[in-house]
Amino acid sequence: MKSFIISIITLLVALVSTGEVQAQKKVIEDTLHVKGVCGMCKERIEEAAYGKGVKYVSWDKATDKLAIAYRSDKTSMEEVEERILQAGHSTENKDAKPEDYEKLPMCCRYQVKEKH
Amino acid sequence: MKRMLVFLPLLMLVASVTAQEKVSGVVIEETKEGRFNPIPFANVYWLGTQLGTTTDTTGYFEIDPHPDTEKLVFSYVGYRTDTVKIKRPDQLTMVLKREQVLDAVEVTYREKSTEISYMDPIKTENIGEEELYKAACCNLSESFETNPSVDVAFTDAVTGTKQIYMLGLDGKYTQITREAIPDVRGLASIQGLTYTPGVWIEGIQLNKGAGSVATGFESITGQINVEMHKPEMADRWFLNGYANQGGRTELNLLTSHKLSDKVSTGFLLHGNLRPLEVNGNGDSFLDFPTGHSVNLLNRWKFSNNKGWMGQVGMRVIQEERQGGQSENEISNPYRLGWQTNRYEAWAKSGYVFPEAKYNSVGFRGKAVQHLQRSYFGDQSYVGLQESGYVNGIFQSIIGTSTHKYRTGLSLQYDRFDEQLDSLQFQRQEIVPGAFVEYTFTYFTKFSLVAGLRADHHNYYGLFFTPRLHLRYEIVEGSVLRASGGRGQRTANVIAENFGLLASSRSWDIQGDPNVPGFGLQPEIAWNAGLNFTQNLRINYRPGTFAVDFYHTEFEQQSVVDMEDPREVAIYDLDGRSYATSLQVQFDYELIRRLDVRLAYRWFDVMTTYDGLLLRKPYVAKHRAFANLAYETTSGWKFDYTIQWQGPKRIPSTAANPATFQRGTQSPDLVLMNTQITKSWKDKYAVYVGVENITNVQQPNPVIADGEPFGPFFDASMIWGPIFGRMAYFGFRLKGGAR
Repeated sequence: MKSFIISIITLLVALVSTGEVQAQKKVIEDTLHVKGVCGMCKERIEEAAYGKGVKYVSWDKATDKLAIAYRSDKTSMEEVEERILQAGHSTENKDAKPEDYEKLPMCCRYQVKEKH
Repeated sequence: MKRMLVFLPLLMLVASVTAQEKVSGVVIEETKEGRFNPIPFANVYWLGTQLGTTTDTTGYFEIDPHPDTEKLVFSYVGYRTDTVKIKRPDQLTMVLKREQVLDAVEVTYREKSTEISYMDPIKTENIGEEELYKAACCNLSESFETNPSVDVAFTDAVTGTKQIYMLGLDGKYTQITREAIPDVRGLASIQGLTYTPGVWIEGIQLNKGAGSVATGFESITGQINVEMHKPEMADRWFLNGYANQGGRTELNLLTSHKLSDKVSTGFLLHGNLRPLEVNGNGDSFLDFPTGHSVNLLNRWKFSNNKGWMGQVGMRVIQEERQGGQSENEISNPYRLGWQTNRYEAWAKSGYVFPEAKYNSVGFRGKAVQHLQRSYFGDQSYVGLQESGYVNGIFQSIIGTSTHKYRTGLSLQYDRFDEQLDSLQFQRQEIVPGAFVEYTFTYFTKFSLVAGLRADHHNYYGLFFTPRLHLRYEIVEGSVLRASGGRGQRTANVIAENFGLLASSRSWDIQGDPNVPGFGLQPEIAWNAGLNFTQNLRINYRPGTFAVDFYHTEFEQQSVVDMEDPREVAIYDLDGRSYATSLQVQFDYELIRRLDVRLAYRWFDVMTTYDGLLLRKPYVAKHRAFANLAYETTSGWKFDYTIQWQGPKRIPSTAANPATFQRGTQSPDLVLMNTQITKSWKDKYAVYVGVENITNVQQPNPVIADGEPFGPFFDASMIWGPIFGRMAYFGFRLKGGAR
């Protein structure tokens, strides 16, 4: 029993400390405006943004703002942005290619749809 | 802070302000017809501060800017609380959404399948459909396999019945309600759990310790409220099938029909079939009975779309089971079986005053008839219960919604007629009562719920039920809660110890012959609890750490004494009886989409048996629990639960001949379950799973199984699983989305 409790505590400490160690590495928090109109867009954008070195993503439908935290030694904002563009969503810096936009499901066509 | 934003569903909004000017705007609601109505007296305050105001009768508000925060919180009873970051210098229009409108809720974060409420003054675990799907089999008694707060264990070796435990005490001390109406109680207190099929359930709210006085005086260790799928559910139909290797087959069909914008109806149908005789555990008894059950529910909902809502419903349950020794194998077999017929009808009505939305009245009523006929070898038991329940509640505010109150009247009627062989027990309980409950909310910082009931019992007289809940936010993300209160109930000693009928024990109910029924005093207990919840964000992923501590002290109890292996003695408590429990739980998203839940529990449950303070049998002092749930983006879900239970005390068998004696303590157990689900577009899903992967079984669960009509036969001394590894599969189909 004792060993069980000890192993649980060890696990907890390990979890918390990995968090801290990783936090000491260069984690950068940034935001990016990404065009989208609905809940499915949110899923698509977050899924596209997430990748190697990305710790946290959250896109807000109301403000079009994508909050992101990533490790600068593993990825860059440009890489993340490129994946989002490929998924068909334009950003504040660049528009998605028309052929990528065409792949969007109807409900996500932000050029013609209102927020819903 | 970001966490708060992520957690509160953000809805339609246009935000505004300049730093120096007053922030002003209107708070409105969108009705189902798409009209906008102002919400008067809504709370508006700066997040994490005490600077706030309320809207006037036109929904308009003005508030001074705060130097430290830009986040404005909007809240109002019955509406979803929302937080908005005020940035742009525009006039602000805030649209609040009604809490009940489930299909309109937009999920803006990856929804956790079980969540511990943050704002609620009463610590509540919200168990959603996703959590229930994790362990797809089969009914309410089995819905808690992935939840460390509730334990599930077999009542005996032969009926296949499981019962729940909370805070180390039997499920009978937990009040189980269905949509806020008392449901599983009386003669159904054990088997009633199996009458709620898992897929009928939309969600479960679970709170430990003293509950609200609004639902009555019976809860002692906690409250479990079950919400069923509503007639207005998003899909027109839902079909579920399940089968396991033991031949257990279940089918569920749910349909909903919207007849007009004012009337809707829903049907919930359930069938269970156990055709095969299975005996895998090496004794001469079948592992579980064969038989079938049918369960039908129909309800109608009405609304005039002007504040009035009504509902009527009915339910029919029929169950037939036969088990024991197989007639094909043994010439003079010990047979057991039961037949249950249960009928329920209920009505609900509610009115929200359109001119003053903080005023509402509600009425609920329910009638139940429950008849069970059973036999165990030469013993027979027949029980009839007829119950009626009505309650009316008025809810309002004092000045502002900082001070809310509700008050109401209730009447509980129960008639019991039970016969155990030649012994007859009859009683008729009539309990009118009144309650008042006051809620004080000081922004997000502090809240208090104080309730008091007065009830008059026709046998036991007038009694008071006080209950108190406090919630204090130490800092943002850290919440401390305290609760305390009294509970009282009348024990149904035979029905609640149904499993003991599967033995040669004689029943010695030491009641006062002048008191109707069993002649025992009511069970009275006080419960006090303290719990702490810390929301965490470790390495950018969310987690929760929670510690619960509860103590239940019985003033009066109907003690079930099994210390003599020849009999079961039931008598009023003389001495101390208490249950103390500590639970530490940690929930964390370890890697993306992999949720981990770890829990450890410690129980100290002691009762005075015939002058001796002994540990309650079959309750492990230590328990540990871990659940892993992984989800892919392509619709696969993997779920794994492991639990460890420490040794449990077994009642003495020293008076038996040596061959029929058992140890005084069970070995510890490690149990594992797993399930894999594949779903397509949230519409179709198939799942396969294995319960008890390592095939752990209690050896020789039936004492003297070769002489079931002899004096030493006992199938009730159960501390572990009765059947071994059990594989199952099933499917869910939904269709006709609105």
